[in-house]
Amino acid sequence: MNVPSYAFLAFGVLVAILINISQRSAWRRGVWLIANLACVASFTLAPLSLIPFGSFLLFGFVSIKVVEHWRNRAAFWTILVLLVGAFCWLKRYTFIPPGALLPFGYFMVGMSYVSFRIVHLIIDAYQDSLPEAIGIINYINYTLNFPSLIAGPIQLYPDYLRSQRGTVLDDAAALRAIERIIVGFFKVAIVSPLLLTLHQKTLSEAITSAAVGERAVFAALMLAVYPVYIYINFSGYMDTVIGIARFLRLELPENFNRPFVSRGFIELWGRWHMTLSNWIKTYIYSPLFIGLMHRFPKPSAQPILGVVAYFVAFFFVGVWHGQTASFIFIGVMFGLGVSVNKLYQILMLRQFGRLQYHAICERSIYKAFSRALTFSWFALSSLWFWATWPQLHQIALELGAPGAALATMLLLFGAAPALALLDAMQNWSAREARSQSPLPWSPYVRIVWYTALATLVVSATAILNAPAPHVIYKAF
Amino acid sequence: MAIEVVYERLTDILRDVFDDDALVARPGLAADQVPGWDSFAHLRLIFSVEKAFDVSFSASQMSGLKNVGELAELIDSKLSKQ
Repeated sequence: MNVPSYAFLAFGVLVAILINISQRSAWRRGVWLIANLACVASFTLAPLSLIPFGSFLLFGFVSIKVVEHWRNRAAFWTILVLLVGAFCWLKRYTFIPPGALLPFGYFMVGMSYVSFRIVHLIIDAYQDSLPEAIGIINYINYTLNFPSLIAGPIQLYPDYLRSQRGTVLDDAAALRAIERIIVGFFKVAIVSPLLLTLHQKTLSEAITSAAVGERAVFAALMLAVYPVYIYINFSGYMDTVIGIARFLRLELPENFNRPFVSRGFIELWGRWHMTLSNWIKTYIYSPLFIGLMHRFPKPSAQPILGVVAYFVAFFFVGVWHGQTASFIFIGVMFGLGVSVNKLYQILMLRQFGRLQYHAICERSIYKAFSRALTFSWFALSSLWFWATWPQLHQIALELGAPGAALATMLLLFGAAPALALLDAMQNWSAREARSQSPLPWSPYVRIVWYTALATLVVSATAILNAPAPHVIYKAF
Repeated sequence: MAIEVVYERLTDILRDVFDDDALVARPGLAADQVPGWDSFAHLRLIFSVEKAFDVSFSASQMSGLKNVGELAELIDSKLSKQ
């Protein structure tokens, strides 16, 4: 079952009807369990193909119980290493010899996201930070939670429990949920394929155009379009699953908050794939930085230790995205992005002091180029998401050094005014929404707008008769 | 240790970490009210608290704190268990 798709929507409606029949906790847990297992079964019914994932899940549950009852440091670390090793093995990371891999195909949809949830449970169980001991039904329902199985969000267990017990479904919430589902479908089914086509077109033109200047313009566009494509595709998926989960009385956390207006790479990761970056900050960056400060307690060492911790944490984010060596480059780019950003902040604070540095950061031109630099670095890092090494080699050959430099400059200087405009528009829109201005935010206009969007989506998908659109983060 | 003493010592730590002698630890004080309180400064604060009170925080405790009041209560509960 693809997400978003009409089949997924129908499945969500059916589960919502069943779950809302009774408010009894046992009923709801039972419906969730059947729905979660049915969602997995929609991908495969072959028992053999479910055994590896099932064993991984079982190992996770047994591990939680072991560390809960036997808080032993050596056992905890052994379990974590085994779990990460099993994850890499099942995900077929290329550093594992092919002969050591399982010789048959098996189900592993959402395994990355499930793994984040399991590791979080094991660490919190070991540190006695879980709100309550987790039973097998809650464990399955939490790790395999069907709206967030395929590509997250990575909701932490305490938040999941809170949400399960306290989410109200009134008329206003239901209306907002419907609007989000429509927007989600529109983004994934209509906008995202158009952007992908535009990206492929600019890639082709960047290689085949006659003049170097033309190739550079298309290369800059090619670089700029891809992050927008990922954003529209992934945030569309998020809109859909958040909307559907709301009808199941589950409030999923947001994953995006206007990422392209970020004025630094650290800020970007506070706005982009937020549940992943929060997980990384909680379970890698914070313990690593605190551990390093205990190991090297001199206050003068703290800034450099923080920079190192940032690099390691976000290098991991990059490497997590894929199984091949290419993703090491993404890791280095992400790691450099946040660590250089932090180093720059530290140096600027030392040079100018807090007040003057803050005043510099608030200058319009400074803000515009901070946004553009952040976006450009992210766009360059994203190269390894979509391009193979031969493609990169060909692009580099066709552009040459002058063409590549020109493309980068065009990206940077084009992004600055474009993102300043985007920021201004989003600020205006937020102000208008807060002031509840009668025209654009009136219920009548909203009904017309979302009905038009829904009609467009249904008509376009019916005319195109194409398979359900692909959500890029499903692959991770 | 009385909770007032925890707040007094937290005031010293906050002033040292954020280099601001006007800061006073109070329950409602949160990151968005103190210039420079980002995740980097937050962890320097946690480290200073761990050293000053001889306590340690779990990963989720470090990131789950909403304000100084929650931090003081957490320190108090850890000290009372010692």
